[in-house]
Amino acid sequence: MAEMRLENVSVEFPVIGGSKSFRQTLLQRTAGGLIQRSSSDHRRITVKALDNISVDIKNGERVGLIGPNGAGKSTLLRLMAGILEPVSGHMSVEGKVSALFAPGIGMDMEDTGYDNVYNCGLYLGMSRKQISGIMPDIEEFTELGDYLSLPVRTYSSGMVVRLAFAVATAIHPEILLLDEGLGAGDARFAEKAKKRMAELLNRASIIVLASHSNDLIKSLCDKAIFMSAGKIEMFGDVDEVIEFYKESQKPSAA
Amino acid sequence: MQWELWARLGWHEIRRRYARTVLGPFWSALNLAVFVIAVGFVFSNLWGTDLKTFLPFLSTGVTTWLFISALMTEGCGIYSANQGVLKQFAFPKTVFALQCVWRNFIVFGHNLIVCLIVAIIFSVDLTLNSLFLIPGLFIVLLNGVWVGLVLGILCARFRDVQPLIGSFLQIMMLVTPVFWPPEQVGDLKPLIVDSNPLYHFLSIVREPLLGHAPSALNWSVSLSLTLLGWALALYMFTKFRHRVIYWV
Repeated sequence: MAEMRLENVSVEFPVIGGSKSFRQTLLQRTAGGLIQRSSSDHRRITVKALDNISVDIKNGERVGLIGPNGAGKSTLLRLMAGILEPVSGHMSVEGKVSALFAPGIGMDMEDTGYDNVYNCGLYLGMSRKQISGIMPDIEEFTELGDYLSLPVRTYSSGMVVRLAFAVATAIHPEILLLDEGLGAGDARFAEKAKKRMAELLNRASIIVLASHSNDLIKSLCDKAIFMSAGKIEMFGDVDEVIEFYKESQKPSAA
Repeated sequence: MQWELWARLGWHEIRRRYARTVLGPFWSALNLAVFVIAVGFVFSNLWGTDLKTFLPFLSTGVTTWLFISALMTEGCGIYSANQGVLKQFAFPKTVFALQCVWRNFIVFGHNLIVCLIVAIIFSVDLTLNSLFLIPGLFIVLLNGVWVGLVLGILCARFRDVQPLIGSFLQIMMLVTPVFWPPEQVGDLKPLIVDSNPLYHFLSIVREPLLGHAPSALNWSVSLSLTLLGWALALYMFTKFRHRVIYWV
């Protein structure tokens, strides 16, 4: 049974080495997390990206993350993925987590396609044996053929996307975290990617998806979290939350 | 499988560094060979020492020094240089320290060829004492890991540490008996040589390569520093491991 529970979790990014004037401009910003003096040391400037977040995501739930830029959606996903540790609060995660963020960041352009699959796979916690096991699947899905033995810098950008997508979706997590839309490529590949994505979504017990597309969230999720300035404004049924989010955005749009 | 990750990354980094070169990592050995021949020729004439004893001394010293100093300089960058993957994947933070040690061990292995060739040409007596190379190297490797963890964390937070270590090592290369025999300082040996921890680490690898046994002082200093260093690394790693991602 997969479950994710966050209790009063906060994340603060220290701003190290900003010059005084830079700090002053920071203080005048309006978007993003709260910029403040650190609670422990008042000379330190921090950006409070997540502020006292408590949420409980149970087995079988598909949760959409919505909110304006800088609301903390990606930070929350990175926290859930175990990449960031909370500064305060408690977090417990049951089940194997995997995250699909901007694909291709772990890739090295000088390495061959095969090398990149191995490197990314090992970073994702697979063994060499497991990676060799998924290789036929990746070869079949990407249709890159002999290109997989060439350095990635020789690929077209669409081919890089294919490879990155194939690697990222080859794992079978219980908890799947997604940031924005993955995909692209030509029309035929987009169709293929959609199918593969659907399979992946079906296998996962919990999905958390951050997106600015309300339609995408509505089609994939049954619950939603509305975030703003590092806080959870609302957590509940997807239609209600999106309605509330739209309402809250209206005055600024007018 | 953590070891699969760092073992692969270590090899990979070397392949990347020498990508599309004909000699590959043997470039580092060739580099060393030219250096040892040039410096050896000049210094042996300068000091009037015998090439037969000086070249083996110099080649083993430089090879070991390059290894030790690379562990320190490259240890500084293990987190700041890998921020891309650190922000993308969740994996044990010890990986980069182990990768750094492994990578430099491979380079050391290639450089060792120069020492072997010199040893054969000048018929250095490789005795049973040479077996001390195994514990000696093992201690240096162990220390490489803690140095990587400590310096990696420090440099992620304080960017001045890396250039500081760089200039420190530049001076230490001349102050440590890499080029000159420690006996030459005479009565000042306890002050100039024995007080230098790097000398002891140098000796536990170099002396066996010359067929000598490292001294009891060499062993005791390097072993105690291993323990102290690991204690420091464990403390810093458990305390700051989670903060590294916010600093890089």
